[in-house]
Amino acid sequence: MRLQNFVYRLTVIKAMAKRDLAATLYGVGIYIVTFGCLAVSAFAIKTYFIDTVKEKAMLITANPLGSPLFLCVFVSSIYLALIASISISRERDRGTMEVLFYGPVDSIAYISAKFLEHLLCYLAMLVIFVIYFVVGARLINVGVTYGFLAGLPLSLFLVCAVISFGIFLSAVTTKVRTSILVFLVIMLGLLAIQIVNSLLGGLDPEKVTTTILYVKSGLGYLNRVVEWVSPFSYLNRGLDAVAMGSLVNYLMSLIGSIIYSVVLLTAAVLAFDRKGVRRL
Amino acid sequence: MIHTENLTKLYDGLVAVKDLNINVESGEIYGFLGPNGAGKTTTIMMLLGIVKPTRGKIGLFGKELKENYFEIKKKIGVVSEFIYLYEEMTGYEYLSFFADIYQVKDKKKRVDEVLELVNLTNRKHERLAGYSRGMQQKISIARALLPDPDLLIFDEPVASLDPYGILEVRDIIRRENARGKTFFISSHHLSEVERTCHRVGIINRGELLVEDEMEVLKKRLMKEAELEVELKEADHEIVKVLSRRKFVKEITPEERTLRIKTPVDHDYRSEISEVITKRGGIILSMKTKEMSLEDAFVTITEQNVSLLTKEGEKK
Repeated sequence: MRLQNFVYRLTVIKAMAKRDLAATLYGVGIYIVTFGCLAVSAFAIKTYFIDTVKEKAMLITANPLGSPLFLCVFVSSIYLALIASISISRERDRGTMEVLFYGPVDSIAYISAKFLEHLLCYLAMLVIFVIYFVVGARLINVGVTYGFLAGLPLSLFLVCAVISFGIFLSAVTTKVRTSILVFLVIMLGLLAIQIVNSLLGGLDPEKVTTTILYVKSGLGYLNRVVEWVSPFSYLNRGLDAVAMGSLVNYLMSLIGSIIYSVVLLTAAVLAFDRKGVRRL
Repeated sequence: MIHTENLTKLYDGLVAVKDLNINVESGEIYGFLGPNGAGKTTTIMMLLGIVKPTRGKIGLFGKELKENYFEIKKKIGVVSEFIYLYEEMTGYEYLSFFADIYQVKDKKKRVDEVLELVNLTNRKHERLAGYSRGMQQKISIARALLPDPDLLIFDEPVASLDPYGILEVRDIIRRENARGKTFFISSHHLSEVERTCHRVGIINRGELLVEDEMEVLKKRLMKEAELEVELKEADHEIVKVLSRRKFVKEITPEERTLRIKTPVDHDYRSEISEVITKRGGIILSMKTKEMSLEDAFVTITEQNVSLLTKEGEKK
């Protein structure tokens, strides 16, 4: 019976992910973002690579395509986190979710389908990125390095963490507007903590007041929490590991993002069960 | 097919459904009636596992939903009161998608079959957003029929349909029932329930007031029978004689027609006929006015309201 249910769930996940993926691919959003990613990375290649070579006639770097790839992964993951964060609330808002649950669909199948759909979206984007970078590398006469190749599979796991974060947010919110708002507030909050923390970190401890020292210390602790909570911290750590060529950090980052994804998806299923599927 | 035991749902202490015990037998058409806010939709949602009951048990196909979720859900088709569709899809795509979810064998053939059943074959490649409300309701019915389910739960199935659409749905219900399908129909359209259902349950304020076969229910609720007697000529003497008889509770002459109310304990048609013919009257027709489900529904809910009021006064 359990095996039968498992197989059945897989069929449901496949059917729902296929429908959602088709809906995303028929829209313009994914193409605009992919084009945006390529444009940003082209700008980065021109500024930090071509212009430097032109200016200094030489550039020493272990992974010339690392930063442009990082930009592509970062921008696409923000997009995926945003659309994931509205995916469930939008369907609840439209009432179509209720109709799905009249049939043989349960919360695990539903959340898994949403996750799979966004992951497939990223895979589609990644294929374009790879073609772009391989062709680009030939045009500007640089090699496709180990760092670049190692970054590709890692980016997949890191994007999983980002998508899980978005799905979790979508599961705990009811309306699309609320989902977007919560996503933006959390993102800006996390960013603000990291920026303020690094600004305060740069101050000379002997020249600041006691209050600022307390704030600095508090933010330091908060920043440590953020490093575990924010999916983008996993992204940063992973890309740092690739840049440093550290296999241990690379594997730690990979395992970390898997655990993060599993925890958040489980939390999303639990939150989803509590919220229910009915339009409110 | 459907069995509930003390099914209860409380929302923040407020009773939505209280100790509901219903039994729907296999192969029957069960009408679930009640005014707005009576707890009909909450009951349906609990049956489908969408709303968790506060307490009580639900059995579907003799099994518990939780333990046999996928197996049971595959055998249920649902049409809800509200029409929620993926409007960007065409009718054919929409049904194909649900055919995948229900793992329908020979998908293309079945989708075409159900589209034919609801008369939407020539509109199947149009987007659902362009469908009229009636057509959208019909595509929902097609979706419910798609997996050839054993149990069909319809919540207000004819709410958005024109008279022709209502006839079509009635035909579908009868045809599918003849194939052995069980129906659980929640509706405000009392005449519709009366035409199609074998048994009804009436719910008010979350409590099941009555559950019985349609005919038995009507008889149980009738306090007096009403006869309509059409005479060849009006005769005041006949009216006078009849009004003196013990079994005549009320008589109202309207030109050549007499409306006579009698107790329900016995069929008094022969006695009435004897009185009229003895006085030389000629009867052109004699009809028993039957209580409609609408009358029964009003009677039951009014009785319930007055009962509750009395209980409230006692307290």
